[in-house]
Amino acid sequence: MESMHEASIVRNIIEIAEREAHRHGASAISRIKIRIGEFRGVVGEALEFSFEVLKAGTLAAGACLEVETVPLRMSCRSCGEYNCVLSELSFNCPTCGEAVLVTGGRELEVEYLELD
Amino acid sequence: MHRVVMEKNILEANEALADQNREHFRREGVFVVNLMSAPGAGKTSVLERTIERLAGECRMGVIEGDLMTTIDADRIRAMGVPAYQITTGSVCHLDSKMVHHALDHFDLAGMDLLVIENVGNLVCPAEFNLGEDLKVMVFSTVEGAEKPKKYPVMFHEAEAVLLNKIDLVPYAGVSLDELRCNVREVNPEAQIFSISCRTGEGIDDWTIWLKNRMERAMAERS
Repeated sequence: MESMHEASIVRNIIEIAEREAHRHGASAISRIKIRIGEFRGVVGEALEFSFEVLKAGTLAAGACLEVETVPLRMSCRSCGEYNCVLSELSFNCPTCGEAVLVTGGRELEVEYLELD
Repeated sequence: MHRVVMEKNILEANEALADQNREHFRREGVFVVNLMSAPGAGKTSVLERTIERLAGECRMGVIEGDLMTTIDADRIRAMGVPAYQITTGSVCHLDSKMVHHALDHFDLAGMDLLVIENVGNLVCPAEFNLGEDLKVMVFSTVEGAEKPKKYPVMFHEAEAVLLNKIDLVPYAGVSLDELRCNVREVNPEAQIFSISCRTGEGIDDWTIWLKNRMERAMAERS
């Protein structure tokens, strides 16, 4: 498929970054740092690829996109928090079998920008 | 150079318009379902069977999302239900802005239940809220019992999962028990329905649940 949803996500990232750059009167964006939870249907490499294509002609034309992947974290009321491998996702605690909640890995955020 | 910390939701623009859509749906008194699946899992067939069961009990409308063609909207209109087709061109999912624009052209007045059939895709649509009350996923059982583990996000996001084409299970060598178990693994809360749009098996269970779910939501609104 020609247009991945990663392309939509990158357009949003660039819009957010440009709006912020304008607010600060910056002439260029040199770095955009984003955090992407593992438990979202978003592929970091596809984001980077889309970014290289879509940044042309924007304030982010010379920017580098830094993608941090946030691991899936689960929380058990009795046993506390632990990391979970996505392919082994289970909503029962591996130690005590209790039902658990997702506490990390759903992030999709622009963490910071570096402006010139 | 200076650093500006933002910690801003990348999809906030989509969320903001989804909220506007939600307001619009509330004003019109309509309950909205976002129907998602991979291509060919049977979303439109599920809609046809659902219309057959519910059209006498509530007034339905459909927004269709497809890359191209109006085939799906034509199928729905042929059943006497108003339908609006969004063609996304090359975009692999519906977003709240596309639905927002559709609402300029599609009158919801007098409608009780609006189903938005998303673009066939097992990954992308799960990321974009449209302002719906309920996310429903259709999965074709013959695609294999392991898919919930490979595509956990959409299975996790759906409140109801319809396992379609169960009439083909004997020929496909798929274990329905294993599939249901794998859906539970990634979404312990899911309402799971085993259905066949071809034979009609399980359709009543699904539509009765949907109608109750809708009535509960509408009662909570007022």
